[in-house]
Amino acid sequence: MNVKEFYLQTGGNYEEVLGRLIKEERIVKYLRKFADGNDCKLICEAFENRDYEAAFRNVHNLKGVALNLGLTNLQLAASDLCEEVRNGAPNKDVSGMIENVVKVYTSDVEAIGRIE
Amino acid sequence: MKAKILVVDDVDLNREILNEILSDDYEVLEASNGEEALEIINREEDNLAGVLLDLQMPVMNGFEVLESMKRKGMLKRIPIIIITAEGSIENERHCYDYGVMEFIRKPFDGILVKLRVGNVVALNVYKNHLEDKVAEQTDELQVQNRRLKEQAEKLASSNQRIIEILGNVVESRNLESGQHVQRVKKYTEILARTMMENYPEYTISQEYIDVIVAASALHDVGKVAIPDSILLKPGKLTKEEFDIMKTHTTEGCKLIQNIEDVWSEEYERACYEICRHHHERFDGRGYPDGLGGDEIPLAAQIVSIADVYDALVHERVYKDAYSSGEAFRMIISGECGVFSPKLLECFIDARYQLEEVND
Repeated sequence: MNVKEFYLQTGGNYEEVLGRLIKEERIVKYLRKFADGNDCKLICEAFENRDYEAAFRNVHNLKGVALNLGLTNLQLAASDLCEEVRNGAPNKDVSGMIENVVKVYTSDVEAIGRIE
Repeated sequence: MKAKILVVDDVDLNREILNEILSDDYEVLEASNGEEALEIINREEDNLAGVLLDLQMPVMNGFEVLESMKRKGMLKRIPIIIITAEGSIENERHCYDYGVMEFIRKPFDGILVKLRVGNVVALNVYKNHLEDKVAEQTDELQVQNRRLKEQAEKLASSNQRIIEILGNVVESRNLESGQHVQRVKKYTEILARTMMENYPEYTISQEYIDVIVAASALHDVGKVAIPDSILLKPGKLTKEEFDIMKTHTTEGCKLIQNIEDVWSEEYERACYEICRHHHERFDGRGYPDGLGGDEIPLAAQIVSIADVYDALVHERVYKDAYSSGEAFRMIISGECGVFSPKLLECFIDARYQLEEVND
């Protein structure tokens, strides 16, 4: 799968990402770097520890990176969760939202792994 | 050497992306939170061409960085570009309140970031250059101003000196007593100031008053050209003698016009006007030119009434002294020729001060 096909599959906008990062090699480099990171793990840990400040920061960061890399579905999932913990402990059960973030994240990381 | 740009973002990936975008044109420094950023900013203050600042960061956020830079007065010199996913209008306004140059929302477009950073840096270099230039020019202007002031002082002192020398000539021939000249100067000052207060439409300035007061000392300088036989004659002058006497106005002007390029134009003009026209009368029946109304220069009108008043209240070779009250009556009634109604009003207003000069 090439980069264009990757974005078709994950629902992102290839042209927009290319505009941002200018070179395709750079897109691949950062996608792989993202896949090697532990953003999702940090988020889960923060929620487990009820450290909502860290949770907000990590989800916020994930949202930012997803935005930059054009991982639109992940960005939308992270964005919803981010707003729930912006002001500390969430007012409702967010476990479904967390699961959703983990699901999209895992699927994006898998797809990145298939880029040739 | 490339200009230095500081990228402040807690996400490694964001810093790296920005670094790659900007590293062709700049030396990129990185900080992962506000505290690190301030450390670098303090260290590199004079070398930083700009700071790209994220808002949401651990340890110290972007607003805290802005606040600290504001306190140290750094925001005026180092341009800030905010790059954030915190895209609310409120945040954007808040940032511009601090004086940031640009507010860029994530996800950013690489080429646009490059262009916007380029604009901001160029603008800031230009602005700093302009400020340096202005400071430089201000210094130069101050030097020139000082020089001008020195020259003006020199000129003012040479103006005064010329008037003094000519005044001494008048006195040394016993044409007028030194006291007469001093008193006319005082009356002139009192009347001019009363005019300034009562008639702002004449736009008389303090500087102008200083000039006409000094120049009033020369109103009779032309008398040096009048023979003693006429000047000191105790009785009434014949018509021919009086005609010669009248030429003291024009003779004085010749003298003044010969002093060229030595004193300032406004002094020369005031001396000339006073010398020539201090015997003109408001109804046009004076001499030498028969000017009427406000054709007669104001300086000459003022000195004219001052001269007449002093001649009346003091003894002359041809007459006794009148009392001040009598002198006021004679001048107001027009016995000594017609004066401007406005000037007469000021003369009456200033009576007490004028009489004090003679006490």
